[in-house]
Amino acid sequence: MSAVDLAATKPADVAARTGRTGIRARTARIATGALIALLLLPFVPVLLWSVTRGWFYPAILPPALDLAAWGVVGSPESGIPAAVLRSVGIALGATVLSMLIGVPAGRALGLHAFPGRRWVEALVLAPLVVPPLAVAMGLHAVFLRLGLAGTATGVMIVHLIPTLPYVVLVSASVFSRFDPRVEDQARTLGASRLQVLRHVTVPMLAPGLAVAALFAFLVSWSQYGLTLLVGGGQVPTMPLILNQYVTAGRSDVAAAIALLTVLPGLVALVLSARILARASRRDGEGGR
Amino acid sequence: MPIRFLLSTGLVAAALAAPAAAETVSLPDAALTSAPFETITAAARGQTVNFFLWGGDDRINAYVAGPLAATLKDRYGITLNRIGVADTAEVVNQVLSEKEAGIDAGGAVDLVWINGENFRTLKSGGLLLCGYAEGLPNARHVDWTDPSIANDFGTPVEGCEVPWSRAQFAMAYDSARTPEPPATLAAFLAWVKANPGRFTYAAPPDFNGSAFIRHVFMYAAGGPEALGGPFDQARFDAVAEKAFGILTDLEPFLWREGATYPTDIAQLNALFANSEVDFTFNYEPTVFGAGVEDGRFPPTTRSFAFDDGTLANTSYVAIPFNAAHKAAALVVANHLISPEEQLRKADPAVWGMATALDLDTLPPDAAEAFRALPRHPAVIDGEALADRAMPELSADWLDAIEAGWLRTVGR
Amino acid sequence: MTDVVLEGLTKTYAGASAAAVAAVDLVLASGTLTTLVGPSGCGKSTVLKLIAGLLPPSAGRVLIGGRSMADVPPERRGAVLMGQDHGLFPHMTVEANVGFGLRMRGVDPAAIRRRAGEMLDLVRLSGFETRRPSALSGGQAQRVALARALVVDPAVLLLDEPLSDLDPELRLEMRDLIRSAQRATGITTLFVTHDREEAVAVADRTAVMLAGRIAQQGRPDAVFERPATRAVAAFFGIGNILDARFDGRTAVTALGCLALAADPPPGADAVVIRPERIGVAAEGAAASGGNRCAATVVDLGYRGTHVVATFRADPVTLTAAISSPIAAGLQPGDRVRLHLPAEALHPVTD
Repeated sequence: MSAVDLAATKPADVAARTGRTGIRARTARIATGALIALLLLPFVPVLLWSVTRGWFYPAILPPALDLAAWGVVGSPESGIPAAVLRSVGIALGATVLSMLIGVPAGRALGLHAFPGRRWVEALVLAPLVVPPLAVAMGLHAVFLRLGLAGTATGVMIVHLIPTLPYVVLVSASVFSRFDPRVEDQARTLGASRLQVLRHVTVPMLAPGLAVAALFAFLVSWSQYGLTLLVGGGQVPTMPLILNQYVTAGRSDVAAAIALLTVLPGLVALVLSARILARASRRDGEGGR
Repeated sequence: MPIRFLLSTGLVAAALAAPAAAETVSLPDAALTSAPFETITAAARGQTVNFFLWGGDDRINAYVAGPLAATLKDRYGITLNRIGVADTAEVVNQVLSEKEAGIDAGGAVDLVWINGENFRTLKSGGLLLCGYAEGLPNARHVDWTDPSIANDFGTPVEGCEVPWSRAQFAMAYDSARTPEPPATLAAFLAWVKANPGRFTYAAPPDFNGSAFIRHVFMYAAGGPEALGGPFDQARFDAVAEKAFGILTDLEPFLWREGATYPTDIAQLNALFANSEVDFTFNYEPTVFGAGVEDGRFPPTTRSFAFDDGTLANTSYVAIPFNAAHKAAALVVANHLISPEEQLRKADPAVWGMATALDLDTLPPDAAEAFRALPRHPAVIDGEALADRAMPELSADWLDAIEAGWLRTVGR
Repeated sequence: MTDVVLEGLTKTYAGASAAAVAAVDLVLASGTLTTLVGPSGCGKSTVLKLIAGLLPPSAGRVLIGGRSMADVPPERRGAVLMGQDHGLFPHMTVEANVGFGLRMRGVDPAAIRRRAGEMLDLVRLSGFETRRPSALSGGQAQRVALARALVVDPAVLLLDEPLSDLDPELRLEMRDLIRSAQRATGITTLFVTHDREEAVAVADRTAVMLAGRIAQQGRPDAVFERPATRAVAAFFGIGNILDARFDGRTAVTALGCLALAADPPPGADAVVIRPERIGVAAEGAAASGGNRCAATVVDLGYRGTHVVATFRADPVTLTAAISSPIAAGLQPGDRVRLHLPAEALHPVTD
């Protein structure tokens, strides 16, 4: 409500109204704050652990600041900087591959009804229902013979098992909400094929497909079992290294690695939330 | 999606997909065990050794990836590739799956830090290179007749692995909380009953928890001699009743009245560090020093061994049957048991793990250097440990005891 | 001012046995609004796509302003399509939607704003510039779509069932808006619909399309009142079709000889009469003259503005739309006399 509106309203009215909206706004703010706190709270001890050592019960606060864990994380001997790059590379590669395969598949599922479509859908969903490790066990033997086991490429390919279903499902829903007739209308309004792609198709599909890509990235990024199995330990990604330190009880280094591991997740979360918020503002209520 | 993004990720993918440098020289297995070591060293030059080892200690990681790798590079032209694992069983599975897939050469694992059950699995499956160990030039510093070297948890080594380090079981306590720890296992059991809730142990199959249970087992048997040799059901049954009786009686006095046990040693360490219990233990007492240094244990942590004896074991490095770079793996294994490298590893500032060498075979000044190594105050004196050393039981005994514990105590 | 000529326009989809559009000849006179009406699936939307250039024809050609469109892409034909579902771009504001066509033509932004504002004014949506399509009602969205189409000053406006998603009142309002905008701008318009009343209400000319062919075209009232074939008659809801043999201006039917007001066209084999043109009188009423027959009331269906009465005049059944007062005196089983005025009887071909 603008100042002009307020000035034009009777004082009592204003008081009542701002009172009500004030309470509602405050409730909303408190709820949002609580949610954020709930999400971030677990990270507080993790953050503290990563910058301290020798922090024992019953001490409430860490005894001293100590950045040794971050030193370990940053040192080339620990292999962690290389693992970050490796994880990013594998996750990006798996994302690109699963988008290349999954988006056309999702488009077919979302736009066209064809015989056997339910079967295809079930097949696409299967990796989410069947434990991926069960599939990967068989794949591992094949990968070994192909020389893909123990390689980053092999790991990237095996990550497609869990990433593809997400990409296919998300892009199927993106395309099912996309009406290709809009492209026709844009053409007749004077847009060339390229202009339609640039001004209509891509802006309409991009947010949904970006979310699909983010899903693929995060799913690949957080893989543990498949990476261990097909990588044979030779492709140490962040979750593998994290596990090494967790099992060893090194909570300081583990915490530092955990923060590094969670970081892209948080970035992706914020990004996708923004993308989705933009999309929902666009779709709004009453939209189709 | 912008073209540029596609391109750049494509490049990353291509870079990751690029195959490792092609194999250069390879010697047949027979030559590896018979050829003069100079030939092997020459063949090894330029090779990369994939060294799989537990990766949960940043000091070990730093040592292997740092000074050790640098020396191997300088001296032999070998690139040491440290591959950390959370559990050595993962490496065993890797070699097993390669065997099943028919990968008889060019396997992923060149060298693995191993002992006990994992060694027995690989050896009994014929999945290790054997017959070379005693022929390594530095093998002359190893006492191969020492039963604790010649047998790895009861499995004869038979030239299938090279000893790297020794370890002995020790108890740790916080001298600020427990000024006078009990000296014998009997006294310790009495202490636990007198201080309810102040002790617990990690449940098998945790490696260290299982070792603690074996101490009780040997105590019940009246000493390690009663359990020596191959597994015998009758002897086991005779001891088991008493041993598990002791542990069952102890249960109400344990942390949370024994309703639950820590599932791994890291949990027990955390309980100890946070003053929930007063003792922890480890098969590798240098861990206590390292733990104080990296903040896992209070600075007042000290360690001790029971007077009635403490288990000792040796850990080794082994080369799988299908290792891609056997010559280089042999050179690395040989270098690992050089007095110079053993001394560096035994330095608490580096790692602090006890040497696997027989100091009597070394020149006096070299032996003296080992004896003169500083000791972390949290770590029990090596000689105090060695005096009380008991040989490990064979793997069959070990399995039976773990299974028995799960059946009777840990239901 | 542009006319559109379709010459032998044919489209056969790959794998289809019959042509979706078969040899359509149609002239859209400059500045007129032509409705193309037919049941769903008759091929009328395909005609729009062929004119717009969104589909290549299998045969025949489209001329806009006398120029063949064979090699002209959709964006350069000046034929703007406006769909059934408004088809607004969901990611753009109302203003950006309206300005889209001008932006694609590289018009300067200030001019786009001005023109978009004028168009929104025309469709009475000033003040909605910054809204998103999702925040519009169905009628508002359709009006924005109309503004978006008109702003580029198209040579031809192609409307594909523009009213079918709207509520009845909105439909009338929108229909009038389209009509007045079309009159004001003089844009040659082809309006596709399946709704018979809509087709004749807004049009300068109406073409009836059945199974891919133009069955009849002409002034709306002519098409409505005087269908050329049985199928067109049936499409316009005329159930009263009597097989006939013609002898001059006399039709010989099952009801006997019926006089006609004009000569039948060659090939005519039936006469039709719209239900509202049948006269009804009591049996004994003093009525004279021809084209009368005795009948029995079978059923009376109240329709609000009128009553649909079904009569049995052996061996045929006739339907008449009669006024309520007349219907009030009737009940099923009553005997009546029906009058089929000569000027309302219309011969049709098969």
